[in-house]
Amino acid sequence: MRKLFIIAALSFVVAACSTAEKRTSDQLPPIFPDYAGVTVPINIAPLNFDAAVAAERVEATISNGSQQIKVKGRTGVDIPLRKWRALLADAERLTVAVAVTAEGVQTEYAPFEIMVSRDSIDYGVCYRRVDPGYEYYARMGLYYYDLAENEEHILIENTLLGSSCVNCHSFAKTNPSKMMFHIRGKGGGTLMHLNGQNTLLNTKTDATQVSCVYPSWHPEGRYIAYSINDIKQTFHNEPSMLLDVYDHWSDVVIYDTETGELNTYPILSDTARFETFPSFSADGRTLYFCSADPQAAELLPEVRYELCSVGFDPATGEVGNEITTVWDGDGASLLFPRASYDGRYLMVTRSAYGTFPIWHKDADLWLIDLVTGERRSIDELNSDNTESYHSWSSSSRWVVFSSRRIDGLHTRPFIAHVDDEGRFSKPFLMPHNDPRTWYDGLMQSYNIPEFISAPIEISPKDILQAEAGAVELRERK
Amino acid sequence: MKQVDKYARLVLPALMAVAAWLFFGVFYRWHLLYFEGNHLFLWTADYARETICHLGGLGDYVMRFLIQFYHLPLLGGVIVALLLLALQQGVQRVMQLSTQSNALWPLSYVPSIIYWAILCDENFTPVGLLAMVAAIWTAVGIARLKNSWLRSAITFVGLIALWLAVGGGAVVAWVAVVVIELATKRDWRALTATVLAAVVVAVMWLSRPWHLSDAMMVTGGIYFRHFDIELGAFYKLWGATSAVIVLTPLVSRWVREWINVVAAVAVVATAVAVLPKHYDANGEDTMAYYCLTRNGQWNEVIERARKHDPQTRPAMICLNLSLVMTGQSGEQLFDFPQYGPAGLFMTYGEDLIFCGEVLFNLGFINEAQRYAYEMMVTYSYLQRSAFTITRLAETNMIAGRDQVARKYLNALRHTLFYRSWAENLLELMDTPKAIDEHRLYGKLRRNQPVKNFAFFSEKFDKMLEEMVDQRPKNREAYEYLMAFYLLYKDVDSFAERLIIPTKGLPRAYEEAFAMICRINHVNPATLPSNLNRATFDRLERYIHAYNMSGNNPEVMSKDWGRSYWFYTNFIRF
Repeated sequence: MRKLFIIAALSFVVAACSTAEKRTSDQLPPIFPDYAGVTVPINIAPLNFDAAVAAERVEATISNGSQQIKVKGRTGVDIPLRKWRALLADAERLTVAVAVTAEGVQTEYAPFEIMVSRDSIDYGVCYRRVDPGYEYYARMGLYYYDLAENEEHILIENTLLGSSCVNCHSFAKTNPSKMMFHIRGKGGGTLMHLNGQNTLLNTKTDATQVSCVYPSWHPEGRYIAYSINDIKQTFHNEPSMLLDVYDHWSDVVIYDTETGELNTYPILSDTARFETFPSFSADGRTLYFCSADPQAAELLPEVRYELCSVGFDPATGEVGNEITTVWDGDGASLLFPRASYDGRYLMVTRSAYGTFPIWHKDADLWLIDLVTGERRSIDELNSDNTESYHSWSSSSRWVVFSSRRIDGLHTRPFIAHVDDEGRFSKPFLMPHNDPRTWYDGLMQSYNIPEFISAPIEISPKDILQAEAGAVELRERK
Repeated sequence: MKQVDKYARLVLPALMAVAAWLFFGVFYRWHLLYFEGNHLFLWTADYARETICHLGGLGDYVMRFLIQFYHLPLLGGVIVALLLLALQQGVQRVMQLSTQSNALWPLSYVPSIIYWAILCDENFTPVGLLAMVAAIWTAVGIARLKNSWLRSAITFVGLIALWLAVGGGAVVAWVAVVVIELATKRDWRALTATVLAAVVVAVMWLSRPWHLSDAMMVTGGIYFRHFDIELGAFYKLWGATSAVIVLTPLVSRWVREWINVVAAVAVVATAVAVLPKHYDANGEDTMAYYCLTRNGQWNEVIERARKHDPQTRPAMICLNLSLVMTGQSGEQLFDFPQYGPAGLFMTYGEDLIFCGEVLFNLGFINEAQRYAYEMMVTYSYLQRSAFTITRLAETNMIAGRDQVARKYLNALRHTLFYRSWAENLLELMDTPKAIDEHRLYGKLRRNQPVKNFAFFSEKFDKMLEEMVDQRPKNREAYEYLMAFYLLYKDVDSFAERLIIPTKGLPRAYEEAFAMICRINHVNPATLPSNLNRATFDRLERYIHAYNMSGNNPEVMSKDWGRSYWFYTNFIRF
């Protein structure tokens, strides 16, 4: 009798499963993240995805033409790493067919393609995760993400240091053996990690008044250009705006990691200008930076930063005598210049005004062709919401940038491929093993996404035991 | 004496449990509500993983689970009482095991009484209490194991696991295990296991696998609500507990029943003497004001103030906001002892959560959001809070930032007590125009500024002026501004903004207006007929009384303490 009951129950379950209504749709599947039509590197981790609607079952067939894998899950799919790698190994493109069962109806959606690029991507991305807040902060940290394994590692969390702020991580051409980040607050400084040696550097001097802020490593790894800024915040009351961050004054200085000197230059410390966001060119012979007229700072919406450049001699550490305006922004403010490592392009963030575009919905990415001088809005990457910080991979074939396109507040890292012609592929959200749960639940933003070419070898102990040091000011004429 | 000792041993635990329940569940109920509101427990696997995966994380997770029931203070009181009782019973059991008697059993109440006092400060979480309960009962469990090898293995693994699960409170388990072992079995294997476990913990500590400061390595960072951990209280607590456990077997042979009875009397007397001193009456009152204000129970706030004057600035702010929200500010502002504009607002950072209520209800939605956000990140660095997440959902929804609002509401759907609230709001957002037509949210949306201006908390009167200029129909902002002028004694600005309605002016406004007229030698007969002439007559009587009293506030306060004139003449700020 008991066996009969079990058989009957199983038959009912099987019948129930097999009689689910099936439909087909010519629409693309409602999945998160949106991977339809994106280009991914051959060494990327599995692009797991979830149904973007309430689902009972999600099934996917991923094919590269010669082989295919089938995966299924309750709310999304978790693609086995080994099978995914085998699939990607000799693929030019993947075809993904997705069926979503919701309310007892299984809908088979139109398949979509994922292009597979032979241009491999760097080991990972380093970023800060922090609440997109105002003046105070809670737990935050610098983390790095293994793009081939979908695994996050901690570089530092501020719980190690009481309540410090950690920010502005930077690498010499994606090399984690030459890197730095700032620790603000009690016991803070700039943690300089150079070839296995860790120094906690005090970069504040009597002459510069404040510590170094926004960094850019020279491609050869000897120099770091910094801005020094007196940063303020203001809070808006009109619903479409929340806050602005701006400078009272700012200059650019260059730190020499070999001599320990912090070089100041009259031409980059012009009291008649604000200079900020320094960035070296690929050959290290030009220093780009953003510059604004302080007179306009009386009224924040009038502040426009231009993109400027000055020559730099890596042998002597001297800068040129003449500043060139690369682009005045055509009535907008230009920020975060970042040159591709092949020397071909310069990417900037362009916003209506000011110096902190992350709070500006209109902020977009623009590309300047350094060979032809042409410039354009990168429409392939931009959205209706904020696009802000960006960095290039060591091969200059990939960019990672921060965008608020998902919910308008929490910044997320997106990755895109760039081809020989300077065309960008449709960007994709940095993969995650459990993307919907993670990104939906995370109330922190991703700040300053920077590619890294290898794992970062710094432990909490290294940070605590870093030798204290100080810069020596050198006023260049 | 033996019988007294026996009955005391039976009665005292129940007495302590009931007393703790009454203390926390009834007399500290606003503390429990406030505490719960500043925590958020999500019923999701991700939340569990994130919470548990740090030093002391399991204890943190279990306690967060329990804290959500503080939402019902009587139940919250039961939880705290049971934890205190469990600690006492555990310590008593350890003492019994180590002495094979009931010698000095009243001292087993010492750790619970200390933690009771600690919990009176809302900055301390009950996680440390849970950690001690787990530690002490782990030691009791280990002592029950007869097999030497098994006991040694469990001691080694159990102590390390305990430290990982609950943090530094586990130190009590080490002490208890060693004391019981030395007092009873004296098994070298088990003792070696405690030493090896301590070595493993020390190695883990020194190798720093976690990103935790030294202080956070002690407590896991979870016994105190934010970064600046107060370790002193824990050292005293663990020291006292260890002293009780260590000393009892050393002196037990000389202890007689009468000593136990004397000790019991001493412990009860100490508890009765000490605990009331830790009872934070002002804090309880202030938290009551906050919780009532937060729920929009304006009349309850005013009623509370009528029974007992607000004792703190945040409480005063809640009262004045309630008067404004119920439209009674103009009439009753000086029915309560005002002490200046400080009772309306504070400068930024002083008390974010209270000022956030003012900003929200007056239509400064962006600022209310900022205050809520700052409160969220400063109250606790490891977790979100129900108060702030609900507020952030509201501010984003009112301001039209729907996607962000949905993110917060979706998180709240995974809670026990805020789920239905979140689902109602999500439904509201799915219905076109429903927010515009909503009684509260619609009004707040209409009351928001239309043109941008920078906010400065230290110039709150200017912010209110800007708001009133932009939104003349924002009654609450107008009344708050008028209250600000009155409390600041800025009668010129008051007169400039004063609108005389056809039904006349409320009492406080009219008193101020009469005073202005008299200063400016305006004949009351020339004023509009809807003004109450009796007020002008009262002013004359006040001036007469003032002159007669010789500028004596005590004499004047009897008849005139509830007038604006008295406030103007006698209240300094």
